[in-house]
Amino acid sequence: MERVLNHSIQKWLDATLAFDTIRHQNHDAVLASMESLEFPHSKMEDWKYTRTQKLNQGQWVLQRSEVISDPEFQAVSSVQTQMRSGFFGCLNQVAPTEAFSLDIAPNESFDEPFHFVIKSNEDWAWTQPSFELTLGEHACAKVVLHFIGKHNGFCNALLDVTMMEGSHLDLDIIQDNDDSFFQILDIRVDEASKSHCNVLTHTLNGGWTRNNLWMSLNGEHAHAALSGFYLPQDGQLVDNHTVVDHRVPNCTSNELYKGVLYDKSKGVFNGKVFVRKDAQKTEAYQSNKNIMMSDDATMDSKPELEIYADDVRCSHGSTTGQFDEEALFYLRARGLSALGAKQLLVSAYVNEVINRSNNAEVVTFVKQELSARGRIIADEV
Amino acid sequence: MIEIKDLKASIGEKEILKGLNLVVKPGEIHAIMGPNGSGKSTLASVLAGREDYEVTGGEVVFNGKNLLEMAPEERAREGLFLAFQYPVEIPGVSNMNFLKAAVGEVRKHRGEEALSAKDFLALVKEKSALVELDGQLAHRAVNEGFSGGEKKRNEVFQMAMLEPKLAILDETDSGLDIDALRIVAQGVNAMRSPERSFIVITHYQRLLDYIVPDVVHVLYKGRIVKTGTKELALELEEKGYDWIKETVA
Ligand SMILES: Nc1ncnc2c1ncn2[C@@H]1O[C@H](COP(=O)(O)OP(=O)(O)O)[C@@H](O)[C@H]1O
Ligand SMILES: [Mg+2]
Repeated sequence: MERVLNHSIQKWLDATLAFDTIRHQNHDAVLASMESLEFPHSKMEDWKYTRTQKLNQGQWVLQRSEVISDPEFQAVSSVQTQMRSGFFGCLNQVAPTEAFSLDIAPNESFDEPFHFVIKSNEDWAWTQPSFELTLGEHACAKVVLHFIGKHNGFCNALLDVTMMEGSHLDLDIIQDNDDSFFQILDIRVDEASKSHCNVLTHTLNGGWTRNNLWMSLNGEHAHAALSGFYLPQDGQLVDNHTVVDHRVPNCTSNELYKGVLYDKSKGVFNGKVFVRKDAQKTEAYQSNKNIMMSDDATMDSKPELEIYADDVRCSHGSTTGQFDEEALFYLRARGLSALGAKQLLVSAYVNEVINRSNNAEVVTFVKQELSARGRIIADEV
Repeated sequence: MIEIKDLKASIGEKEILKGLNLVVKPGEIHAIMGPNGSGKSTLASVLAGREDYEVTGGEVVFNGKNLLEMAPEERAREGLFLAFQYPVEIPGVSNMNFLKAAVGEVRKHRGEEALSAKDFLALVKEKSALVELDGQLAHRAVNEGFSGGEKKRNEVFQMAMLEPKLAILDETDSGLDIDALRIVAQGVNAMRSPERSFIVITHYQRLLDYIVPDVVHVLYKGRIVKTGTKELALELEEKGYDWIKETVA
């Protein structure tokens, strides 16, 4: 069948042909849906603040990632992730470079986290990993997805999380990419009643990072916690687009994203909260806070609440500002250098997010990593 | 210890210190009294290096060095300590991490070895007992959720930890009940030594019953307008400040 695709995406699809990818069960439908798409650009609402030219100009070579994972993650040969509407989600689905699933059986409960480390090691490496996590009824698990991107590669990852009734998931995403690395991570979480999902995105580093997180509360008394922090420096970009979709009554969501922006870096936060007409007694909290460490850094923060139910408790707040000068002076007046005082304040600021993780191992790891890089001061005493 | 000569400072267009002179020798305690708005906190802030104020004239020599050229942290490391009139709450920053960093910097500057975790904790225990500060407070975030009295005691506790050469206490007594006042005074008195000086800023004579000053100054409209012994404080208590205002006018 002849497809008519916009020329801006044709070259991306052509580039997938040279590599033997995993097949999505809806491959043809995904491909058909791409007929109406074009490569993302700044005139599109979803891409208003995030430049894509450099990514589009890359001489990317599709290839497999290096994977280090706990054995419970199974390689799959037919991908079943839900269809996406955006270009990069579709792109992942027409050509996944590897696909893994983790199924936690009903009533199974694990204290030990499941780890999945995914690495890209070469210049111009382009990888498209695909993940499916399923938690059976009343299952309980902690999962860590750890991305390491070396050199100027591009990782376009996609993850579906399906949570059955009463299940509980702590999902920590660690993004640790080089300054010239591009990453897109598209996550979709579906929560059945009484399920509880806590997603935390630790963006330690990376040249260009775009995260889409969509959490859908489909059953009553489900809870979604979503958080993230970002500390971009130099010319780095971190863009978090989140959606919390309250579809039914009596669900709660709590969102906190915090950023510290240095040098000429750029941050984008777009947080949508939908409260559908039937979703009475919803409690939805959202907060995005940013500290600008330089006059050249920019932050575009946009909360979007669309509330169609009347008996709800929702709040959102977005702040972007400088350091608390009073606190800075107080610390310096006790002998801390201006830099040391700022580091201490940044640490406290970021720790509020890191400490929302229920994975003690990750909390320690992330704090140690950031402190080894001089980004924060690890807890002492 | 410190020599302040003809110090002038303004904030924005407004001149607040209008040629202030003060000499404090090692081991001395000077009290500075004066009505609200006379410039007491401004003096303390300028000495500590707060950047909101512009020094427009005069000089300050601290142990032979030009104080006004130093960054706030250098002043602290050289041994100047300001107990804030309004201690700042810093959510998320633990008192302990903060103090460990501060003590570390000050010791490094003095050429002393870093304290081991064990010695540091022992010091915390000893000094917090001095001001009867609940051990738990040391583990909380800096001043967060502290009562007024706890904040002031935390200032004196930090002073004891840092062992400054010159401590400036800005209305450390205000808002304290008599027991808290006694505790704060006890902390200060325990630190008195022939090498350490204090500038005690207060609105009331009350504190000076507990911390007995060598010299009492009255600051009014940005200048020291009267200097005397501790009897001056009693006289002020009795007659109020109007008497001074009239004398100056
Ligand atoms: N940040 C500021 N901006 C403007 N005016 C100030 C500021 N701080 C102090 N002042 C003014 O300077 C004067 C002295 O204030 P201050 O030093 O706090 O007095 P005191 O401590 O003796 O009560 C007052 O008139 C006060 O209003
Ligand atoms: Mg004052």
